[in-house]
Amino acid sequence: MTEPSNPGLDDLPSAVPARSRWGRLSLIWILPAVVILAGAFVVIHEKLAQGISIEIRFHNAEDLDANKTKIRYKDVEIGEVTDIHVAKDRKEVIVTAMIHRDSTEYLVDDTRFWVVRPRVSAAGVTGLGTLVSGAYISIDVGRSATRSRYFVGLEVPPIVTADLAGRQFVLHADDLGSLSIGSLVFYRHIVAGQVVGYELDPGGAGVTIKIFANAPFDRFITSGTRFWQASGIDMSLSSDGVKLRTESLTSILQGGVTFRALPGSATTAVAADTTFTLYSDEDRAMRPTETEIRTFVMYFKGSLRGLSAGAPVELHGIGVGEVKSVDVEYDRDAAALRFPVVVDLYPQRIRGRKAGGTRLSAAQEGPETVSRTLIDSLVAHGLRAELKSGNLLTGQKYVDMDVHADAPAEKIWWKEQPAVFPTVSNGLDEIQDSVAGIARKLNKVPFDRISVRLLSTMTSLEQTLKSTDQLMRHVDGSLAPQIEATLAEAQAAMKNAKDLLAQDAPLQSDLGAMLLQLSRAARSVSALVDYLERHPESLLRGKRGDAP
Amino acid sequence: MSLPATGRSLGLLVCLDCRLTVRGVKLPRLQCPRCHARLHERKPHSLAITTVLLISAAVLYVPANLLPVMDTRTFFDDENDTIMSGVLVLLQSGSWPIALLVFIASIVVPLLKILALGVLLYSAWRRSPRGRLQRSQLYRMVEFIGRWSMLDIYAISLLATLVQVQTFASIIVGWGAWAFGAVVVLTLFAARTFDERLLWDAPRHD
Amino acid sequence: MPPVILCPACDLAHRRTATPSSGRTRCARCRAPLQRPESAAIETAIALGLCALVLFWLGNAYPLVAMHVGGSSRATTLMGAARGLYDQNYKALGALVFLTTVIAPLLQVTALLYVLIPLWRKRTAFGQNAVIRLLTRVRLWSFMEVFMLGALVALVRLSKFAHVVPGIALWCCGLLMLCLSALASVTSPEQLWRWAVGSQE
Repeated sequence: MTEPSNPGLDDLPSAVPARSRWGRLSLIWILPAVVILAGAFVVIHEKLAQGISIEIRFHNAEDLDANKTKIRYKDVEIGEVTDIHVAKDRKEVIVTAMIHRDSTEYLVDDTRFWVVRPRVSAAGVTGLGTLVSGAYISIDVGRSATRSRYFVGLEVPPIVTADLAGRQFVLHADDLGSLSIGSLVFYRHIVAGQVVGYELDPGGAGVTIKIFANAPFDRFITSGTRFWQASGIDMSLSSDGVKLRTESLTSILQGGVTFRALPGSATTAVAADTTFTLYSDEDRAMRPTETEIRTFVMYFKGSLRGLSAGAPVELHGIGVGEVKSVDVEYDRDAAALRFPVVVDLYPQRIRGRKAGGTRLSAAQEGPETVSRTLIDSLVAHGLRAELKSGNLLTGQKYVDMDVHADAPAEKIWWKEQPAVFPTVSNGLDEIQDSVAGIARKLNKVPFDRISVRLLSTMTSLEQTLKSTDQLMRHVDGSLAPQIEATLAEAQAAMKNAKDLLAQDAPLQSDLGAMLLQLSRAARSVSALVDYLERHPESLLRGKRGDAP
Repeated sequence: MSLPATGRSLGLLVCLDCRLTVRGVKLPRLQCPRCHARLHERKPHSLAITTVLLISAAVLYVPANLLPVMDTRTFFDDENDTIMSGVLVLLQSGSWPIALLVFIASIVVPLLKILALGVLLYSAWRRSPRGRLQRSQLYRMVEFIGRWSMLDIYAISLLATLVQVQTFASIIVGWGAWAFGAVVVLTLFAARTFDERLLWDAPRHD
Repeated sequence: MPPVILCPACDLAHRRTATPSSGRTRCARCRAPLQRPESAAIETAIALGLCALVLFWLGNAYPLVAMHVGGSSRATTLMGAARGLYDQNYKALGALVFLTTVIAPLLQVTALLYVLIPLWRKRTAFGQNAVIRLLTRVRLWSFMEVFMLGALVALVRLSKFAHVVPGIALWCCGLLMLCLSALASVTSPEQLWRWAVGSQE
């Protein structure tokens, strides 16, 4: 490389001046000031517009993703899950979510949250849309006025949301039957509500069931309304026969409750959460409340098989009471077994039905006295209780009350409680009586005289038989060969006739020839007649061709 | 013929970090007195490293354009998009200025860079005296536009992050994006390791 | 001040003459910039640096853009976009985006402020030289303006099938881009070194 010979600095070119591009920035500090102010403004604005952070506890975080899962109210997005982590006690998951500022008024302490995902339940399949859009958390805004930021999420969507019109009621039953959460409540076969929850009573003596009746059906629940389980198929065998009742198909599958107002009952409105009894079937539910019940004891002779608690007590076929229980008692004094049947009578019914029967009024003398007097007078007239077979098919028995004119006189001792009601014998005794009657009748029949006559008849019969026998022998001996001879002759005669009439017999051929001639003659006669018809003058002139 | 006085001829060095002109000393390691950066007369092994980087970039340019950069999965179908097909989609949907922008930035620019650097490397090797000014300007343009190829990477990163609506639409990044990013980075490095002073150096006399 | 200025682009030696009024000179042979104006005060640089810092923070703290489609919505911040690439197993790409849009601008601004604020107070920051060197190199990898254009392309593509709402951070990043380029022009390497050396003397 050739080194230039140390040029002086003056030989070096000078840099070329270039245009100025940037002006001087004065008052430069305004810029950061403005930026900082704007930034602060933005930050404050964001903080103000920011929502509230809430915590919801769930059992697990299935289908939930931080920064993705939204919270929706009536399908409008009101927030988003920001964080999910396991609680310290490891039993729950804490989901932190940010709710938008304008939705923070929904956060009251009875607001409920649950995860919407595809679910199959008694109510059907819900949440299918989340297969596409992803699961989300739904909210049911509560009615409380207290704000809250900590919630426990529901694991199952609530049956009734706060914005559903209607009222909640409480039913009390012996057992749950086939009901479950979501089982339907019917009114006149229309779905009027749902079972929302149930609980075993403290002490375990029954079940308390909470139902929610939708508006407008909740109006029909009054003080006179009766509820009963309409689950499945209600089949009963009683002395009335077999009864079969069903509600809807749904209630067969998932159980249901029906309600109806008791006809003729008061219909005052009731407040929400009133408790009602849940009966097990319609019959029990629809039994009118008896304001007066008198308990009696009845003793029946004979077997009580087929008589069960709940069997009706009827007067001429009309229900006036119910058998409460059937017991066994050992009467020491009489050294015998007795079978007391405890019966509830409803004297009101008797009074009500016996038009013009009683001239006593409850107002004057008090209901207890009135019914006693009534019963006493009836018993004096012969009202007795009797065990009868109600249904031959089922063998169920019932207590029938009737006026027996021939019944021995009896009185009710009211001092004993429960008082003993007089009874009459049941059917078994009747049978005994009839058998005895038949036996007596049989006794009256004059068997000896009959037997004598019978004997003589038999003898003459025997004689007749003997003579017939003789006759038969006679026939056999003499008559028979004669008859035989006659038969042989007849046979010979038949043979002659046959010969005569044989095919080639002369008689036949003669007959045949004769017939032939006859036919010829007939033909010529008919020809002649024809000719005469055509030429009637030939009678006079003769045939043509004949004249010369 | 008097050659222009270059730093090399004067025994002077310029610090590329702080632009200080210093007197060169024949020592293996030189440090700038002001900023303490390492001083080199010319960038060490400039041509070799730049060539290697350039060849790698050229090789990766092919898969960058052939492999899909984005896989759009919707409920109904799967759409694979290369850079070119993305441009066509933009064109079809009516936004032709953006389509043009992406086309230039993602297809033209990297290709231009690779070709330009190739030309520059060749001329640096050949050291032909003609057209040096233009080549210097070419280098400066290469240096300037290099960064703009990154815009498609940024667009992809935003799209892939946002469009993650499960079962409705989700965007998965494809290997083409990786190759493309590599091409951009490699050409950026190649432009940096190339010592443009080589373009102005006098031809070697063997 | 050495009497000779070497052109870093073509190695031509120049004689140092009086700086013209514009403060800018170019190489006589290849027209590369040789000298830049000196007058920009340190204060300007610091002011711009503070702006950039605030804008940087806003641009990263809030979502860049929100997308609403099909009843669900998604939004992402700047770091979220890099994270998105990283999560899809393109770790290198994610790191690249993160470096060029978050780390580089941040380092650029903080390094500058780290150096300039003491200089403003006529003091020397510890490790000043190394930091200035780092600063000038990091600047090469700060691609904020490219990112803005890339974001524009993404927005256009998204708006085809979703409802797109630009977030506050997007505007902040745009302003940051302007701020950074202003900053770069005010604090050229030579200028920095001049300030740095000036304080050392």
